[in-house]
Amino acid sequence: MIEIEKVEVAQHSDKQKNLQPRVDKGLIEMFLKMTPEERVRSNDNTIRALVELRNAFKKQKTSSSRSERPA
Amino acid sequence: MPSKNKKPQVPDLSALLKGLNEAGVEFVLVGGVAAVAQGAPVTTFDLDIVHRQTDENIEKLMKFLKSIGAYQRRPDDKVIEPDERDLKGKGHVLLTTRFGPLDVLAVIEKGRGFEELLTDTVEIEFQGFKVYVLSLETIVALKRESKDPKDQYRLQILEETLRRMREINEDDYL
Repeated sequence: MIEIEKVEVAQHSDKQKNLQPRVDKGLIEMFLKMTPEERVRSNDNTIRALVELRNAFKKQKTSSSRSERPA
Repeated sequence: MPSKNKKPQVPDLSALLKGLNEAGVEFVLVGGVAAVAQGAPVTTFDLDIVHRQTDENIEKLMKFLKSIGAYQRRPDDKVIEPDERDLKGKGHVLLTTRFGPLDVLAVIEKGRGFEELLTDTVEIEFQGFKVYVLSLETIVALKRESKDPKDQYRLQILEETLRRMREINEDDYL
């Protein structure tokens, strides 16, 4: 019983460790190779993609809630 | 009361920055875009500037804000356009514009305005214009003092970017 508890504690701390936000060094390297203009444009493109995804999600949610309604 | 199309626009912060430069507005770029411009891979939805509070500059900024249909960002549906008094004050003017959210700040932390911030800026070439950008060192120092959880999360990315930037600069020097 005691051993099981120990294992659980160890797993829990591993999980906690994995949940710690990590810095993506490759992404930083990629960004530093760009010009300031390219970096701001990349931010704009990311926002655009996020907005498109959000709109698509909303659309899907609306159409699925419509189809779930009883006739 | 003037009516505006309240449908949110997809921000185009490059266009907003270009417009400010073309209008000849003097400002220091601060906030998320300042960090992005210097190489930090973070995403930000608004443009933050600290403007020079001279009559001439405020006039230029007002003219530009009118041209991009700026109005105050509010939780209700009231449409209130900014006026010169807002830009001459010491507060933050949070706006919605045709190109996305624009925050016009008189001062940032510790009451530092345009003149005080100039010494902590780097000059960046952007679309043919020279832009004063708050240095990443200063942004990191400010975020270290912040208690906002969002800032704490971003701080790790900003610190790593700064560390790598310094390494690259040292390599270039050697």
